[in-house]
Amino acid sequence: MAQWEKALARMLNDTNPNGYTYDEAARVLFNLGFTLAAASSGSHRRWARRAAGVTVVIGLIEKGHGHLKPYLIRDLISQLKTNGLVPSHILKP
Amino acid sequence: MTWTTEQKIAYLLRQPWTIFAETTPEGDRLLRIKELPSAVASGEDDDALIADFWESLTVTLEAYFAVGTNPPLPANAQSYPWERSMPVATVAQAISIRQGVQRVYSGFTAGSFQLPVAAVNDQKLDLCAVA
Repeated sequence: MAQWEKALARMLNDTNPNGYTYDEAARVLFNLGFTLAAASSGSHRRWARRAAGVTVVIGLIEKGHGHLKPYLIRDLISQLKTNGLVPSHILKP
Repeated sequence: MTWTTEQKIAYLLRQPWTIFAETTPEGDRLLRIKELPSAVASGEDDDALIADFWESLTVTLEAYFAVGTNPPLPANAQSYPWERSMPVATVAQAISIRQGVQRVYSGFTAGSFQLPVAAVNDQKLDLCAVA
């Protein structure tokens, strides 16, 4: 399993996801077909994926150091699950 | 009128989005937009939260347009104004197309109004929507 897949698997099962960096989350999204679609002058980043007429936009915060807030990882996982974007082999226990 | 991305974003920023507040288990104060799941703002005080809200909403809207799609609409909106804009004809052309249609429009001054052709053909002309 690739590093990004391991990170995604950890995120999926993490009840307190407070130890993930922006780079880890961005790598997961990149490997799932997302691109960095917009970046504010501040720290907001939006990763987007458009496929089969459905656009999914996921928000991250890039501060250049430290870990992402847990709600960002929860939102990321929620969006991936809602849109069926978690690879089946990672969903399996 | 052709809408630029900046104009579309400016228009959408003024729309009545469904906004709700949340406090996470970790104590982070958030503002979310129901129609735009990725538009989430955080801040330690009200001023920071509100500033972050506008930044979050703006960059979220930019992301949708960057990948070539419209963002979801606010709950009470039905269509995008830039998609209602259509090729225009002169009043004379529009009246000619509408021969037989009984509805009377007041306020026409030949040469000063332009009507959406497609709307005329569909007989759904709404003067309020005429630019």
